[in-house]
Amino acid sequence: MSDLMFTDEELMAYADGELAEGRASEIDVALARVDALAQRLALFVDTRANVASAYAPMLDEPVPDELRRQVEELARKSDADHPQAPQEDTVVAFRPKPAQNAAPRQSFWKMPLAASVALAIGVGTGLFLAGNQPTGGLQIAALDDPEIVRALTEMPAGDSKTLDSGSRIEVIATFLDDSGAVCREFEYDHAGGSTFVAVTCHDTTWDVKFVVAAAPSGDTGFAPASSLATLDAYLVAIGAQAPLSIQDEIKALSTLK
Amino acid sequence: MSDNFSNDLIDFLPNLRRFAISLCRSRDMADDLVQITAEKAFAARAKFDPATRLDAWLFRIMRNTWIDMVRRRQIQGTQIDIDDAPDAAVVDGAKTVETTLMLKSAQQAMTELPQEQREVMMLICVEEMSYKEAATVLDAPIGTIMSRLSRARITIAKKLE
Repeated sequence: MSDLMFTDEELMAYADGELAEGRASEIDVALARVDALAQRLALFVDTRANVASAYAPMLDEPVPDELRRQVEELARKSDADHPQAPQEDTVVAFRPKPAQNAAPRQSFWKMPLAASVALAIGVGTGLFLAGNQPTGGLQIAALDDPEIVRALTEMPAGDSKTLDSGSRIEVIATFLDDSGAVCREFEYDHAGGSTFVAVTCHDTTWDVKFVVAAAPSGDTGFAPASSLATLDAYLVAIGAQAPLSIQDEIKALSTLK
Repeated sequence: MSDNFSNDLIDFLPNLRRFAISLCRSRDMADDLVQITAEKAFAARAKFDPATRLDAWLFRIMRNTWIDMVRRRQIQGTQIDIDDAPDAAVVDGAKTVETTLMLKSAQQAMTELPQEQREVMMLICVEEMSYKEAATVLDAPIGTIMSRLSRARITIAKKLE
């Protein structure tokens, strides 16, 4: 199989979560077999993360007083001319904005300078626990397993556990994102041989936010270090704070039960 | 009296300003652009369909305003020295030196892109719009959006190597 089966634009759309499902599943399968494809994909994953991080601090800059004053004056005059319309509540809300006053990021999560990725699959929100995404040969849907959900809610970081299915899960770290949601980074060795490193954050349920996969390896396979560069870029992008201490982790997990 | 339109627009000022800075490549000019955009938005308020997204509508007004300003004043876009720009990343002492350098070089690479590529990068990678939403803001077919976005990312990756 050649990496030339997919165009740059298809790989980009895949990285951005915009590729049609059927074609995306084909890329899922091809990624596990063709290293060159993963490297081409990494370019699109990395450039997005790098540029997003570069412009994120600008949102925290205060709007200059003069500008704010002028716009508020415009708003006041305009509101006087436009009495409240009855349908005001139907204005479509913006997507949630990142917290304006997120705690300063710690240097624990370092921005990769030149990330090259062994294999990165799907970056986006709720892609995999949604249960309606065909995932080709990689069986990420297996993360839907209630045993995993329980493990994520109960296991302290550093512990690993073999599940009934024969798969193994190891929780690597617990941290808060910039909205204060509890997130866990964990490694998952599928009984079939694939290893994933994933980040999941708790809203009302566990939402898988990010997955990197290692090529199938032995029974103790780990994702190669190079794929973790993309994970780091992702963590920077979501404003991940440093991992919680053991006590803070216990406290954070107890709020989820 | 106020309603969601005014409040939402004011809440959105930091995003409008960020998009303006990327279009103008100058902070002073960006604030003028934000103000003119706000004037136009309030003037056209009755035309806004509340069932659609206000953020996309505002970006579209801003972008058309900018194109108009460039055409009228024959401004070619003023290049700013990125080192002179106040940069929130620099004052955050917890960040590593590499991170700061990386942020600066990613911003620098963005300012060197042609506007048509820079604006798709901003809308999709920074403002997290879908391809379709960006196509609406920029009034271009999705295929065009994708080819600009892909060329922009290949160029940026080469510069960050």
